Amino acid sequence: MTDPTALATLGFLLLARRAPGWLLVVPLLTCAVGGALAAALQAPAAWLVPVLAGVAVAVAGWQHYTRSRVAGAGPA
Amino acid sequence: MKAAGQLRHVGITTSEGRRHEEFEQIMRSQPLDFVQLSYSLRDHRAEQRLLPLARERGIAVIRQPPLRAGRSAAGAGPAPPAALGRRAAVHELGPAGAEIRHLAPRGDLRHPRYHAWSTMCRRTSPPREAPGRTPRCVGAWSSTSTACHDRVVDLPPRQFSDVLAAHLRRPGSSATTPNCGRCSRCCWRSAAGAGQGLARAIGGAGPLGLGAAGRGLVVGGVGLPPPAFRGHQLGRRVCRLAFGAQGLALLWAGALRGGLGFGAGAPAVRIAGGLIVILALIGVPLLGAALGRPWAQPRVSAS
Repeated sequence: MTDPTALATLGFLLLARRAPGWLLVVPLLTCAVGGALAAALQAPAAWLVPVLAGVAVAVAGWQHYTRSRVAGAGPA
Repeated sequence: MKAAGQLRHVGITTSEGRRHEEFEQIMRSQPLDFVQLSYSLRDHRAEQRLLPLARERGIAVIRQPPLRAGRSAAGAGPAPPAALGRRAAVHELGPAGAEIRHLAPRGDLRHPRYHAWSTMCRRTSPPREAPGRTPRCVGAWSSTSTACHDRVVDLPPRQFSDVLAAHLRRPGSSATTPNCGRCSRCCWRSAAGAGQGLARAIGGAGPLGLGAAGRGLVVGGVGLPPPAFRGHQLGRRVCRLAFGAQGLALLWAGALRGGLGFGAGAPAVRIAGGLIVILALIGVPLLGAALGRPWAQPRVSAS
């Protein structure tokens, strides 16, 4: 399964300076499908990767929100 | 699922001699149609217990890969043990056996006809067709492909094996393996499959290692009825293309746009990103070790 690699991709994208949001799509889908597959197989900790991917999305969303707010405020 | 018609055959697989004890327990306790295991000139551990058990219980056997893609007799490993593996292999070859018998002593198993007999082998022995003759080969995946010419599923007429069989029957035919156009190896040779091959290569060597493309949707594909098998194949292609596109996108965003350099984001974001990377690269593998099996591997019960 490629889930850990996709998850690492999400982590690296969070660390990146200006990663476009659409780069998250494929790793997110991979994590979702992989998590569903792991759940179907009753694999241990099947929830882990989807949950971490969700955290990554939440953090990326929060980052996007704060950046847009700062940009909207503009220089004083 | 089998009773509902969603699966036609149920089997288990292992390779390189791993988990044979557990494998044997499952073979003893579950109504399997087939097993797949490593059995070749080089690796003949299955002869000790698994093959006799398969014969006893009438379970068909898929060997992978039958002749180790030529490495066994070419000196990469120990010599074939007292010709036992060789004899066993040749025994099941059917029409191509005599030819392989000539090829094997020369270590010439890279010969294209290797693919020929592995395909012939799977043609000749569908599962459950001759219960008195098990174990027998019902299929033999090539060393690189899990996708093509699987005898267990209902391939349309004149797929790889048929083409190849006709090719071999032709007097004076050259030793060129026909292109099935389905497996990854053959796709490299066809213009139509070049895109897949490129996507696969990019996905495998992507900047963030988005390798093993195309493994995400369905485990295996053996025994799926034709519609599901086609869906499985489509899923694999979609995954490959997606990973290839992701690799290209990362290259574009990172190398060309310079947007992937590590920069000064909010501390919370950096901490979250770092933790996710650490968990992905270290935590998940350690989790597997802590559980005693790979994290994504389901618990296998022989009871």
